[in-house]
Amino acid sequence: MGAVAAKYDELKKMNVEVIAVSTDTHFTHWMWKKTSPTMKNVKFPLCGDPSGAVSRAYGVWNPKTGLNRRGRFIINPKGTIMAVEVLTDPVGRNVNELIRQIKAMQAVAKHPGKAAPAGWEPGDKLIGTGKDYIGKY
Amino acid sequence: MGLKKFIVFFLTGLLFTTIASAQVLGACGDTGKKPQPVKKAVQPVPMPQPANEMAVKPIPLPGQQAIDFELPAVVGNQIKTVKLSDYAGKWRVLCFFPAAFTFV
Repeated sequence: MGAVAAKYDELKKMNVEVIAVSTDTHFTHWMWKKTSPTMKNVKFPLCGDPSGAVSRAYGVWNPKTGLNRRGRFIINPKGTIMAVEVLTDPVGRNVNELIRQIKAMQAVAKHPGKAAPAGWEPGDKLIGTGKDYIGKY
Repeated sequence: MGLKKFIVFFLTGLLFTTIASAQVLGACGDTGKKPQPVKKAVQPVPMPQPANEMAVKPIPLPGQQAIDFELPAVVGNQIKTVKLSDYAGKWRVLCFFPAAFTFV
């Protein structure tokens, strides 16, 4: 969370909002925010889903633990899911990879018919798609 | 020693009480009344099958519309209700995580 908070200004500039959801109550999040130094700077919503209803709707609720898996969905401005990542519990996410993926999606959205190839980094050229490009990459 | 004696007395007392009550119960059995049918042992209540609302839905995949929701949230120094659709027109990162006080 702290890592995401550190990059939050950059995400804001990219027109991105972060919404975090755990199976705790929002009151627990309130105290977490009060007591943890890294959480103090978190400006994005920390939602409580103690019934797990929303987390089950997204398939990330683990019935063995009653807690959420580390599931992350990138959703575009129209509400379409663009990327899904579900990690094993003891491994954290990488906010830089998140930013790279959203930048690639935004670049492709701006240039229909183009694609961001493997390992694409912001600033790299997009490539053409279609029959003229078959076998060129 | 006092404690040892007490325990011995206590156990002996317990033993006599048990024998006595067994005899009383036995005597009751001889009153000519119809023996009451032994009640069936209470069956343990089986774990309820997960109701439909407890079913974990498949993880939505790219291309599908995100399901809208409404949840109570901490936003900055406020507590308010947050809807996914509140942020329509923006790119959204929806992050599920196990619990507070863990990394994300």
